Amino acid sequence: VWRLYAIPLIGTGSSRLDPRRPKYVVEGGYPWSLMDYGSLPTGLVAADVTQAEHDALAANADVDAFAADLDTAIGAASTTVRSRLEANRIPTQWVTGATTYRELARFVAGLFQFAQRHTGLHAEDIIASGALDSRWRDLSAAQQARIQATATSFGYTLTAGQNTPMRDVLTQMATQWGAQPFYLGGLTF
Amino acid sequence: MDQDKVAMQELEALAKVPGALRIITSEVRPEFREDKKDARSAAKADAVLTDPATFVLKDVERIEVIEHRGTVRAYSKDGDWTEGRPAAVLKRLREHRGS
Repeated sequence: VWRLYAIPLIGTGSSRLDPRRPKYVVEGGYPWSLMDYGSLPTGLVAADVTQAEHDALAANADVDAFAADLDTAIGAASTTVRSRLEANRIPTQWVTGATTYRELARFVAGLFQFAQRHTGLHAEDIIASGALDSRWRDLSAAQQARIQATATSFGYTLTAGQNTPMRDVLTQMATQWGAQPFYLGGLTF
Repeated sequence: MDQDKVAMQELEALAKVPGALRIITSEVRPEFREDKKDARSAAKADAVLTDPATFVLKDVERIEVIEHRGTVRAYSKDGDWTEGRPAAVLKRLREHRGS
């Protein structure tokens, strides 16, 4: 069964001997697909796993498994989900117990798509470590222009003021993907 | 005439009409957030985050063309702004009408 996970990425990607890859997954021997967070060391992974393989993967402390049924509400796990994703520079101020795993997956995927293009265009991380609560004014004018350029390349708009937190900027970028589906491995969400 | 040129003309015309173009800020309106006194407080669990009416809206006061980026930036009097290609900005600044 195809399932979704947020997993740290390892490897430098400098050679075939040390490819950039999701932790644990390659060794599992099952089919998988990765969507990465630009240059940041976190990935959204879809893997076709048995229950035993899922149990082993999800048992790792740094792996976050999405519910098998993506339309399940996150419920009481929302506090943990928020803190775990925030530690990976993913803004979650909008997540509540009523949020579904599908909504979460679409947000993460939308953000990752934006980050990938930003990294491709400008060769920089979309957000610095611990910077979700930094403000738009904390960026240099050049950094602001680069984020705006990435947004414009998607046809997105960016709304901000000098005091706008970066978490709000990233949230805007994550949610303008619209109604188009994401395809990852055997999953569509 | 391309879509952005038409949008630019419409933006310039609507910017003169009070309330026609409004910036949807990321600040949740007091009645929809957990702490009404804290502008940065999280939205309540039942707040509808896809509804522009959940957020503080600000009238557009002026439009600035940013030639080298091929974009337009619409400002409120408080300095908040929305930037993008003209057609995207026009669409965004009119979304408050559905709220």
